Amino acid sequence: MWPYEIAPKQVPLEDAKNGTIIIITAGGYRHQRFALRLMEAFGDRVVAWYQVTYPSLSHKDKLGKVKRLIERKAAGSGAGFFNTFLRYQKLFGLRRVIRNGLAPIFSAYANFRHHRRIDEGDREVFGFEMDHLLPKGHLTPEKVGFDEVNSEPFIEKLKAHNAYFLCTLGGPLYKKGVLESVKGATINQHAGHSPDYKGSSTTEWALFQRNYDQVSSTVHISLTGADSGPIIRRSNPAMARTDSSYKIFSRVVALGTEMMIEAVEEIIEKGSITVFDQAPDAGRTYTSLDFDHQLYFGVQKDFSSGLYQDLLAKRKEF
Amino acid sequence: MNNGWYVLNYHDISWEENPFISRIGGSFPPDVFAEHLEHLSKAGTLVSVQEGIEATKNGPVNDVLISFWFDDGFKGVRKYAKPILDHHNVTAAMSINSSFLLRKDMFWRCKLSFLDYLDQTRILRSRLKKYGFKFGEQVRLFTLDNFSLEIVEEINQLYATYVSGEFAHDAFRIFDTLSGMQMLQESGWLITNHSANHYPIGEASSIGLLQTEFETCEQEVSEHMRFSSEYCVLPFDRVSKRSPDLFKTFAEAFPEKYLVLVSETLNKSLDDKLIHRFGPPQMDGKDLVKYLSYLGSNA
Repeated sequence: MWPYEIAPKQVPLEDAKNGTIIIITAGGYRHQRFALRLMEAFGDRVVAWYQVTYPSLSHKDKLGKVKRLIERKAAGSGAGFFNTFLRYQKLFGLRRVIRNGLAPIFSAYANFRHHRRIDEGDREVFGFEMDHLLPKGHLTPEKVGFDEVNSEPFIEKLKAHNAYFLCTLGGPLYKKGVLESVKGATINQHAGHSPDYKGSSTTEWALFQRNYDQVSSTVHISLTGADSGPIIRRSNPAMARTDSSYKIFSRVVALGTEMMIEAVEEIIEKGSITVFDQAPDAGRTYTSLDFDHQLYFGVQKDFSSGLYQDLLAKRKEF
Repeated sequence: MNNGWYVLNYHDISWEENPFISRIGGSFPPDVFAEHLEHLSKAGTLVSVQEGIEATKNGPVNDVLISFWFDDGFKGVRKYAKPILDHHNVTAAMSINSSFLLRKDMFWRCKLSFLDYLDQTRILRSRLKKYGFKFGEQVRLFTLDNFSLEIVEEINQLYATYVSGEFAHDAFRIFDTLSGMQMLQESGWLITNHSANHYPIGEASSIGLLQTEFETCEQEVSEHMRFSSEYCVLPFDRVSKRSPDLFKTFAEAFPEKYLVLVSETLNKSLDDKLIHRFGPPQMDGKDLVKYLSYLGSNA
């Protein structure tokens, strides 16, 4: 679907008829599904698939990460944390301080649980089609480190393909060199309702705010800002009563992939695409630092209490 | 499940449920549909609609036969449901509305859904007062229970105020195209008549439009593709709201054709030229089989 509230404009993209495609993804199940689905749709037009990798952390590094998260939430160093604890205990009482003091630990747990459940949701939703998709993948991904993906050598590697499209799902923010390494367009799919929800965990934020009309997927031309480029398509996923928030997220991703395929097909067929410019100051960009236990547990509570199912039914009572 | 021919009536199968559909519902995501089929294929034998008809015509069905019938011509059916059905080696039936297929007019219920998304139901409520709408009633139900072409015109006028030009044309993307229907036909699917505009022509409010609506659909689609359907699929089919003249009117207008309904009952014989279907509720595959077992046992 096109965004209703933004005026359209036509962007010419000539010489796309024989254009080839490079894919860059992160390494999750849904990213694999994205790449396979594009290879199924476009066959040999897909000439390369790069998978962004992150270093695996030792136990010591993981504990350090949790400690830094707690200290950041507690606003200070380890010593500062305990000084803050003693000061507030005197002012507000032990119970409140324990609850607030444990919040960073809950947030760290929520982060861990959230990422685990995303993977579970992907496997539940995409499991039925992977047997069919796997044989369509004529490429295996070439790994590239997250700290290399914006480097000059990698950009030169991308340019050497002489491709027309760069299609991305996941990974870090791509710099101008990467975005301009293809002759035509770099297109990204974002699991959120641009411009209102940009950045990270945007499906969860829309669910948390019970803004179900803005649980969306957006396909857009990539700019250096997060999820901020001209929108090509934006629409809502099918949401069922029996869903978990993670299945909804996986469907948002699936919808985005289908819209991306439509967008590339349209550019190839017409040599142009209708886009919708996002106002630069519209909406909000959520970061990973905004994700905390209140968001995680708040969303889960809506599902477990039946409120999600009730609100979904209520949409039809107009 | 009791022996007999079960026909399941779906609408759209898609990852997408945009504001043109979200307020009226009826979509299933592909993963849920695939899960339904996994359970149904274990509970009975999946057969095409043609096979189900032949088996039921030829005498008592001593098996659980299950077929699939999709209404309204949504694009997601060919894109997502067909590959899943192909995996189970079964074809299905698709009923189409000529106005949506040929991009002549958007489904009036989709217009309502989108108007509600735009928060224009409040304007529509005031315009429906002259037709008897009272505060506290639901527009969604009122427009069906008190259906008239004048009410459709009110919806059309309000819709045209907010949706026009390229956006209005793009909105039709949820429906499949003529070439899509031809592809399904070539794959062995049955393409059937669901009337021109999907009005509630089985109810007292518009039983007078029944013949025209089915004839118009057949005529308009036949101009573009091979389409002479033996099967007329009744839009909406709210069993408790059926006109007492429905079966008589249909038999007089189309004595050779079958009337396809949503009666939540299984088919044991086709002597009355009626085909009954089940509308699956939003539930997982295991519960769907239990639901069909319960309804089938009460048939």
